[in-house]
Amino acid sequence: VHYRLENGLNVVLERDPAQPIVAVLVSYGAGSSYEPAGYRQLAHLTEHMAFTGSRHVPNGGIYRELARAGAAAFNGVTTRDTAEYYAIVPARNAAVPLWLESDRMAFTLEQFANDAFIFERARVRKEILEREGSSFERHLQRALYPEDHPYRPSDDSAEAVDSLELSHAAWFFQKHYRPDNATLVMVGDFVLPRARATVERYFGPVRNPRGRVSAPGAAQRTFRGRETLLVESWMIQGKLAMLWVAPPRASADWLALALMAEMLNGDGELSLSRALLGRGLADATSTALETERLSSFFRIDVKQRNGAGLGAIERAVGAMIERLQRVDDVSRSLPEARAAMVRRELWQNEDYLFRAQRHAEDLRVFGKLISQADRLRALRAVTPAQIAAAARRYLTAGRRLTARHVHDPEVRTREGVASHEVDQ
Amino acid sequence: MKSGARWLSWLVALWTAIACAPRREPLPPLTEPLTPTQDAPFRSRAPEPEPLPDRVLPEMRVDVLPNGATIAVVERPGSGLVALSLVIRGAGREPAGDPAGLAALTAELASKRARIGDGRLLDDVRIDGRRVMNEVEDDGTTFHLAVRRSALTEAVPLLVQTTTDIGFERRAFASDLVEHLDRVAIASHSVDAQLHQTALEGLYGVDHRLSRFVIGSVKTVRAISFAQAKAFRDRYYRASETVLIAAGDATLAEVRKLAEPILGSMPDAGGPPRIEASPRILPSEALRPIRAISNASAMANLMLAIPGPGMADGVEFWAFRVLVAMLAEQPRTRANAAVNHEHVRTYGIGGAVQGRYESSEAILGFSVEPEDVGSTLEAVLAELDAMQRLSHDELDLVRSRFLTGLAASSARNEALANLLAVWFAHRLPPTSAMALSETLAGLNPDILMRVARKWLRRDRLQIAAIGPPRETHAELDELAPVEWFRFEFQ
Repeated sequence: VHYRLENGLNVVLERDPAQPIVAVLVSYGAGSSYEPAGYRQLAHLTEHMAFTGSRHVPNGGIYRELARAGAAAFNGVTTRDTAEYYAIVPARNAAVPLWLESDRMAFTLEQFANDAFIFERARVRKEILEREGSSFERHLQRALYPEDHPYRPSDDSAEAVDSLELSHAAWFFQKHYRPDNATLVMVGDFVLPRARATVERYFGPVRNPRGRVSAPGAAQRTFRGRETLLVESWMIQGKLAMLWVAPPRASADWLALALMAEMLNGDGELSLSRALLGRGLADATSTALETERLSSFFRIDVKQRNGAGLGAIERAVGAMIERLQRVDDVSRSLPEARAAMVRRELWQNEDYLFRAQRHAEDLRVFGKLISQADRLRALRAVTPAQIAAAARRYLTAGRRLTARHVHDPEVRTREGVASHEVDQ
Repeated sequence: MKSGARWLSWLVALWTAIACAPRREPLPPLTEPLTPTQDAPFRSRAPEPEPLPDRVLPEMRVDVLPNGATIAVVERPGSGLVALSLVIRGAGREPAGDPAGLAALTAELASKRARIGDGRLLDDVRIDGRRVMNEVEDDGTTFHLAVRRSALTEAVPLLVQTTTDIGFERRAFASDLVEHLDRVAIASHSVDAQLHQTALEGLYGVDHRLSRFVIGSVKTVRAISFAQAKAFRDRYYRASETVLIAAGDATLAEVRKLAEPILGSMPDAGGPPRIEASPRILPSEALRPIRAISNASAMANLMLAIPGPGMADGVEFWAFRVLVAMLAEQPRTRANAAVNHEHVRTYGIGGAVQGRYESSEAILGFSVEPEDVGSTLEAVLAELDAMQRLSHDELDLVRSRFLTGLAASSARNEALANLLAVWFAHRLPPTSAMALSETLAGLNPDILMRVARKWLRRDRLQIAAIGPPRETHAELDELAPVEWFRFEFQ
């Protein structure tokens, strides 16, 4: 069931007694794209602060209470669009994470303290340094998102987090951590009326602060022609990434592109890894549909085999894309790709946390819940002709970004050197 | 530098600093009240958690075929899904006399080159878009396939086909070998893999079977012949060492009916079951020399390998397992608390236990800024010493979390099939899996402290590091002598 409390909190309760556990998720519209200009990393740091204690669960007590309840997993995750907090507990202790999350939502801000802030800021800084990924990816993200885009990464994330203060995190928390900007999802083995009553008891009295919250907007990035990004650095692995603009999640074409990605990732006739690894061009390939609230890209990544030419890889990928535009080629590969997606859909359904996250996503994207039956029906309805047409519409050679990473031992800086060109 | 040029460079630096400074508007002040929600008595205490159920693993039905092959099924009608695992005990990591990677390559060949009834190779067959996958651990090899119930009739014969000798082909061997070599080359570049191998070499000796990558090195795999792979398979792929596991929407009767035509004809030649002796830990009077790999990275990575009891040791193994969870497997562990709160040196410590029938190791890993490597390591070692002082509360927290994790994963068919596969691979009786919750319930602080005194000792562990020597050597050297070397990709 999906309903809203009077304070605006979205509530999704899905009862499934197959497993003796309950996954509880609270998702806030409080991801990094909600940060004001010049306050990068504020969403992530605020997520850390949200674990430091609340009026009734002071000083990291949340870990102790969840452990007492036998939580199998719990964490907080900040993405570009959301900040999410989850716990998986034995079914009989489902009230514990509800109690904790309501305290986090209502009674945390007053407990924000500077010593905890300084400690968490240092931890976030270390997380950034440990997980910052490759300079190739950072250059690519900068090429994708212009200076004022909410998804553009900061030039120096560690420096950005150092510039933040406690008052900034407090402001971000007050603005975004509120019932009318959140979705609470429970999936698992519970008694529905009792769960509903517990949710009402803990979350019903939580009041919104003054003001309103709105999601930042930005136009989908388009490619004006053939864009090329060349990154040269001391990193040895040669890489190629090719990106095309894809439709948003709610579009009818989105599923066609998801099936294309499945075909390229699979083992069939249109398998990209078979084509490239078999010809000694690559060590690994992956294809993904990277869709978020403000952008959607169809992306192919290739790790270059030592000695292979990036030009040859690009031509081989291009040839495979052309095959995706032909109905007869797609017809032969579609049954396997579709079966793989159906199978994944069924297996993912065993994961209650995954289901909870997807319910929250469905509400964000579609404004309603999508049943598994509807999801499977939509998947089965996609035809080879639709896929080929979508490939012709979106995967065009004239409008794409091709990013190459080339090893250059002379480049000594950590970030390497990048040049971005547009050929219209 | 001439003074004019110096001024110019300062001006450029100043301009860059100004241009790159975060451009931002001040944020508005907070609105009052900070907490608009009214407090209430029910908020003052968490709902009292209820005790965990006594039994967390579901019932399993087991049947043994006349040739000794076992079929174990957890029947869960109605889920529409079935996870299958085929375990070959004893076909795990090869003995020291065989080339490293032999077991892994043999498993790869079996899951690709076995030929099914209609003449196709396993490698060319997909069910629901998936093919048979394999996993080689210390005690056994496992083949996995998870399918919808509607595909069960096809999936069971396909999976057990990996045990047959048909189509184990010499002519495809060369290309399979090259493909495996590629995987080995890519995997051996991982920092964690290098650290792991380096630590275990210090613990067990360079040539010990446990010190080598399970998938082998480029040098050892390149030298494997088709005859060696076939001999390994003939020696270890035996009926009495084989267990077919199904978890999900299938009954024991139907799984047996589908598997028996192939599994029932599997030979059971060879000698007694292969069980390795417990590894001998090289003697040490204090902290043994730190093995360090020279690397120009900005961070230092450290790994501690701590030898532990085997899974056959029952209570002692599970006590060790719980101790390591307390130390480094949870978000708020002792080691994390010690390191982060006093020094703020590392983001966190990860820990895991690699269990085998006859022995185990705890592996603790973390990354740290090079100048803090010594103080952080000392904090972790001090916490290791402090594991000899434990409270009931602490044990209860970890135990309940452990049992819930077990309940959560065993409720999922694929995770349950994997769990049971591990259990069978380690030759542990199925009844002990069912009794795991009782075993954990029987642990108390006295048992844990006794096990901590026996196993969590500085003179038994091995430290490995990767980092820049100039920044880290002095820090490490204060704790123990450091042996620096370059990692050789062989």
